[in-house]
Amino acid sequence: MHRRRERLGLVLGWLVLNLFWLGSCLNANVENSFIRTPSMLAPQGPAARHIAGLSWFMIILGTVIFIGVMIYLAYAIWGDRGYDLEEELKRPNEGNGIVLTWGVGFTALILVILFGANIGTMRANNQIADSEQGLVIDVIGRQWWWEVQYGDQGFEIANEIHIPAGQPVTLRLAAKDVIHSFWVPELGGKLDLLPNQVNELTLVADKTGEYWGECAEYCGTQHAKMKLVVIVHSEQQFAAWLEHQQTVPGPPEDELAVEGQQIFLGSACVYCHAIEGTNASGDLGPDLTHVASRRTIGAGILENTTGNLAGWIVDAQAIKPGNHMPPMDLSGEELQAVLAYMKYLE
Amino acid sequence: MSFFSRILLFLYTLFLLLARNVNSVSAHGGGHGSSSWEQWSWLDVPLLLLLGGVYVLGIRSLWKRAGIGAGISRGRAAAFGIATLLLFIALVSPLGALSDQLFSAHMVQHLLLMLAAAPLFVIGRFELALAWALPSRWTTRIWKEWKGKNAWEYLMRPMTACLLHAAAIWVWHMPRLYEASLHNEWIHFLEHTSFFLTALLFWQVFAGLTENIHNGRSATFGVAIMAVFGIAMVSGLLGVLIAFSPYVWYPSHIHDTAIFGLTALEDQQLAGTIMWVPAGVVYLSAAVGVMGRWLFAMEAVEAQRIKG
Amino acid sequence: MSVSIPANPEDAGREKRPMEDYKNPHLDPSDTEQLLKYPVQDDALSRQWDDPEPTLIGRLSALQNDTIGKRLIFTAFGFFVLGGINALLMRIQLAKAENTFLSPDAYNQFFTMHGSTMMFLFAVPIIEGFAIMLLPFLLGNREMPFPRLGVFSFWVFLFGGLLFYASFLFDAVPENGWFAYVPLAGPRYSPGIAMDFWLLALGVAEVSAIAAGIEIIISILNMRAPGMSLSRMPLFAWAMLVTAFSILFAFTPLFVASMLMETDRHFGTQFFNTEAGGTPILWQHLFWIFGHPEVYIQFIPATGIVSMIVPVFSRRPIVGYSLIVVAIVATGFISFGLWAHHMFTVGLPNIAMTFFTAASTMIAIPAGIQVFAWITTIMRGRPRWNTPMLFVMGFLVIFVLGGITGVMVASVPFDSQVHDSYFVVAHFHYVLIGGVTFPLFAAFYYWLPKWNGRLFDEGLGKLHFWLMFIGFNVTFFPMHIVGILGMPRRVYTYPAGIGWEPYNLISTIGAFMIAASVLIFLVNLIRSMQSGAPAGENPWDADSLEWKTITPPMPHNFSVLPIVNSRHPLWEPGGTQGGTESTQKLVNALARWPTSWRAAMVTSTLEGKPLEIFRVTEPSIWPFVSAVGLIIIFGSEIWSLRWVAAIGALIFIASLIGWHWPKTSPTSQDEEDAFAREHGILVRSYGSRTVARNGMMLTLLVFGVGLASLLFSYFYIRLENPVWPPSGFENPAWLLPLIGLGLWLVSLIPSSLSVRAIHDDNQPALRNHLLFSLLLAAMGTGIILYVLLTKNYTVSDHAYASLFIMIEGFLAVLMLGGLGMNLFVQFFARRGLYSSGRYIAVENSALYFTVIAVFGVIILAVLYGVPYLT
Repeated sequence: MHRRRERLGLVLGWLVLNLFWLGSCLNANVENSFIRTPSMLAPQGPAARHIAGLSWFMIILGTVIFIGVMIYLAYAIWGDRGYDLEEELKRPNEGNGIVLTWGVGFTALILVILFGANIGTMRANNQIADSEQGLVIDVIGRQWWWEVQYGDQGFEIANEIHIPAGQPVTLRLAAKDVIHSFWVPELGGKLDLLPNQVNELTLVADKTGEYWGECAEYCGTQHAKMKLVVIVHSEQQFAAWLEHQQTVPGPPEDELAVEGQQIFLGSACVYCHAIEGTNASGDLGPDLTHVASRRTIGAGILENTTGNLAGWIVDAQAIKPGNHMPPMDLSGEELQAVLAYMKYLE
Repeated sequence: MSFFSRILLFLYTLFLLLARNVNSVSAHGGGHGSSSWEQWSWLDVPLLLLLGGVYVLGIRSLWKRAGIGAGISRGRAAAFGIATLLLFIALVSPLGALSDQLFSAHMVQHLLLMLAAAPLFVIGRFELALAWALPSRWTTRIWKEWKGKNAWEYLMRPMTACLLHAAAIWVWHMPRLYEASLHNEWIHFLEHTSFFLTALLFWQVFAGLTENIHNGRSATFGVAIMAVFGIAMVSGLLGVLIAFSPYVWYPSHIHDTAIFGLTALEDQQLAGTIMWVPAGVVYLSAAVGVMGRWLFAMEAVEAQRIKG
Repeated sequence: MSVSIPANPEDAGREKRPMEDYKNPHLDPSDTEQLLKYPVQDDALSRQWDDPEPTLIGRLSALQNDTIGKRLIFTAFGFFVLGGINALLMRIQLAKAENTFLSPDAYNQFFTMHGSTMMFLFAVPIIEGFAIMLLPFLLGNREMPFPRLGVFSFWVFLFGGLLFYASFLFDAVPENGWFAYVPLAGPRYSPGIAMDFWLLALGVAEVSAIAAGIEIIISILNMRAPGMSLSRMPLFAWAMLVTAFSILFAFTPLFVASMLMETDRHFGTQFFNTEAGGTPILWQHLFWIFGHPEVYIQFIPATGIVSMIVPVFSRRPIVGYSLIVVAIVATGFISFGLWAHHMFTVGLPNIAMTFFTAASTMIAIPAGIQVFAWITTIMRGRPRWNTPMLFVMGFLVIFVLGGITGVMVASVPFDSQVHDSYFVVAHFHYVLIGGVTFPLFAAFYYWLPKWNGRLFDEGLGKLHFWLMFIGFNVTFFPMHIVGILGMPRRVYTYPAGIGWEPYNLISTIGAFMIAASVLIFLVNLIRSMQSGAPAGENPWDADSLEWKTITPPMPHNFSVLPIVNSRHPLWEPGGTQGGTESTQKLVNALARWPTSWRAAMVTSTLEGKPLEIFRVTEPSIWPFVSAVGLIIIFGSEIWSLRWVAAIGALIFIASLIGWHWPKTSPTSQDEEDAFAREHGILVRSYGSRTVARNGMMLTLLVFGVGLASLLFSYFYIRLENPVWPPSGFENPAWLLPLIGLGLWLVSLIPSSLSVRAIHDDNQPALRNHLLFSLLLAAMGTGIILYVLLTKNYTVSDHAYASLFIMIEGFLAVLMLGGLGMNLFVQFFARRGLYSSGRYIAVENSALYFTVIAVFGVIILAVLYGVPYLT
């Protein structure tokens, strides 16, 4: 009796653990934040949708097989039969049939089914890649932020990618330093950014919205805080956004902002950052031409608010230890001025 | 074999060589811009006929002497038949012409030679049939000359066979040589011959190592498995290199792949992957087959012991 | 014949323990039945085979297989605990969002140390430890073939592990993951010495793994009990055979890759530098050529353990023995073709992906065979639920799930989503903890009682199991979900509000449950060692030979070697008697003679027929000294202290000579001849030809795999450079190196004549031929060295230059090694040590010369031919 209970526990305990699956649809989004659960099973584009379909198929099939094998195991455990060791020793080949049927036949059958499903998905996703594409965006991985170049349109942004809804966009992925990986789970699978090779990824989003993306290949100290946001616009909005980004901001008029610009251009900032229309042309940090229009700062880790930006400028190391932005020794007024200038760069 | 038939054989061989030389002038250059699905290259048919003829001759005199199925069982003879058919597909059918255009088709052709036809030749015991087809005087003479000779034994060593086969596989994929083979029918012939002969050697050694596998008395099947693993790795790594290359190795293939909806690079990647994965599966099957066969033979021995 | 060998310093002053220590405690002199079972020479044999007095030197020289096995197991277990502590710290950090318990660098260091420790310092060594401890018993022999190699392997592993953890003392802990991708781990993005700790300390551990691998292979192939044919071999031995070969084929490329990266970091080579023709993807290939089989190197022995335990506790023979063997071999084979699936996201060709998906899932078939064989065995048996069996059940449940997720991640589209996410973390912990650690715990509960003499407490054992089983699933199951929800691996924190928090918290709780269960195990271990119930000879009523000896076993394992005539020698009536009369006579005689040297038996590979009685080496301090030398070489390179490395090299070479210093036989030639004649077996009181030759061939195999890795690197880098040789380099001039190689090839003639001479016992001819071959080979080597040293470029000019010099340098080093070996043989040949009965060293030296010649041909063909042909 005791033994029996133990076996029952073994199987039941496992089944209970399986209930975790039911929790997989949890979604704990915070209102108005760019942070959202990037579930690959909540696809927002055709590529991700194909994969999600395949995933569900495999998850369900896998669960069924797992439960089946466990039932078989339970049956094996419960099935006490009389036997005689001496008799058993005389039949070394006994049972080979069962092993071959299930171990080879059944397993191979499942693999063939899965292979078919895979081929279908791969073909569907290849078709997306082959479809007509207009926009080409270069995404360059840096330690630990994303440089995003709209080469044909002649401007550069950072840590966010803007695309029009429903249109396939080609991302040309490369790395400037070490290997990174581009992953926006809701829009599709990941692809690596390599220092000596350009990988192309086709991105399509069904509808407007913001999608959380991240670096998926360990790239050093701040790999954890190398995020990005993919912002999907309607076609008109996107055109407007493009036009806005292409304009070069003139000199600021607001007095504080003018002072801020002077401080900015007179400090070490210019060695790393570029601002179109000024002589700041550094390439080590993000281009700041339209920094105020960005969704986040610090590569997808903070909401782009004045407070956060102030904190970032004064001591980025406290927020993202190890990143390449040194602390800025600015007085309160100077900081206010620089913030005003940043705010002006919309 | 009479004097007359010897002359005949000599003339026929001469004809084969000449025919090849004449044909090689027009063999290439016609493929551009069109699919070669319908091109049959009859160039190698006489050669196949020769091989098949010798085999049939040999098997006829063997079976006449010792009874049908003796020495070479019907199954083995059938294996040889399949091998000839595969050679026909590889060399004569449009696959042969296609392989001038597509690297991947060329790869399939090579693999048919090395991984299908060659082992089937060995299964069909071609060497035995050959011995019976030749006049017995020759056979005994050759046997006397070779038996016990160091050179022969070195050749039949697993290490030598593996190295030769591996060298043939690698050397002919060096771009200069491969290109040369595409432009000169003679070199092409040399390429195929060295692939086929070293493969024949490799599988012959493999068969020798696993000779007594069916009664569980083969002490060397482990060496056979290592050999097959080694060749699988060596040719697999070449496949990896071909598949991962960022540029096209063989410019001659560049122009023709578009007809088949492939870029030249894709064609090359396909070829490399074929060399890596499907070819690897063939080697794997050989290893697993040998292992399984030996074990089940032992299983039978064990069962016998327990019963008796 | 007078043979004068200078005395080996290590022989001086070794005291043997008093005879009283070896009285078998289980023997009652009045019990005649027992005396029949354990013949009279027991004590003398034990004394001969025991480790030396436990003084400091004695402990450092100890080489019994149980001693070394246990040391490996417990050291590796120590590293398991350290790796576990790393994991707990990581779990604390991840318990809540935006946690600041660990700094980013600390977290990255801990996950690097965790992964590297578990892969290099726990899983492989502990498995090799079990193999070294068990195999001689399981196979029914007295020792491993190269006990000193085992000692060397242990110390090298221990020093490597300690050096690795010494990085904490220098505040230079590696933080680039266990995979150490370049360029992140390269000189530019990881300056400082942290990565050097990783490369060099683990490089040493790889050497240790390879050394033990060689020993394990020969033990299984040639040192079994008489009558144990391959087809009667326990499945654990089959598993270890395939594993050990995989170790040679997998660890060697990794070692080569580590050295390439180290030279990139310290010697200015450009293998992985894209700006000078190198490529970082090469590292990924070399790493995963190792990394994928590595998983199976851990998993296959675990299945071997399971295949031993399942039948014993089901009380019936295993179902599908042959199928399992085929499955093991197939797994080993397939595992070497699959590495690309770790690189699905680097942008592989689309066409190739389809094939990779199909190929990657193929490995599920051998796994399926084994799983169903175990289940069917349980079904057709009557299972008992002792702790080892519970762990095996836990393994089955967890592994099946891990296998299913494994098939899922082999799918390219699915993997493109979950690759490097927590789903993968969950998957491989299911496979590695469920598939490896659970069976290892089962092995602890199953086998340790044999060596401790005391059983574990079943109650605590079951508590351990349930806590670990539940804790494991609580930890790792939620990771599947959080991975699907988009959480990437190797992140030290995650933002609040993203929806990953509850899963991470649950995982952390589970991790502590696992930790608690390991504590329970430690308590159980200590309690059982102090006050456990006596285990007796065969507490589980098992079928394999290790349970035939007394508990704990005698130093020489078996007085009378068992004769095996069944797969289940202890289950079948008369299962260890059988054999022909002469074999029986032989094993009985071997229990009484010789008692003045350690005699073990070499059996034929296939059928287990007795071939040789040979002398297994005695304890010696030299393996320890050579381990010290090796670690000095590698350790000093961390700080680029080349002169210290040179001292280390001197120590290493000197200790190698001491290690292999030949011995004179304590028994007389007549005595040996008499025994040989009477039993129709070769008696070699200086070492076995079979063992020595196989050892040499496996060593050469390792070199060959190393060469293949280098050549693969050559061609891979060739791919990255459309112009070859790159601009600024001329096509290599081939005449001089060709002459050098030619001289070496010519030296093969006298070298093979020297073998013939020794077989004919022609001493003057032997000396002359050895001298000729040395002179020719030395000239050849000299020319190659001259060519190498007079290049008009340096390693740092281009990856081409790095490759050229590295590969040609490899050849030069191998050639110098050959010269050294020839000198060693020459020295003793001139003292008349060798005879037509003792010729192994001459043969091995000639074999080495031949194989190096083949390597030379290949190397020169590639280096000097490829630029012309591509």
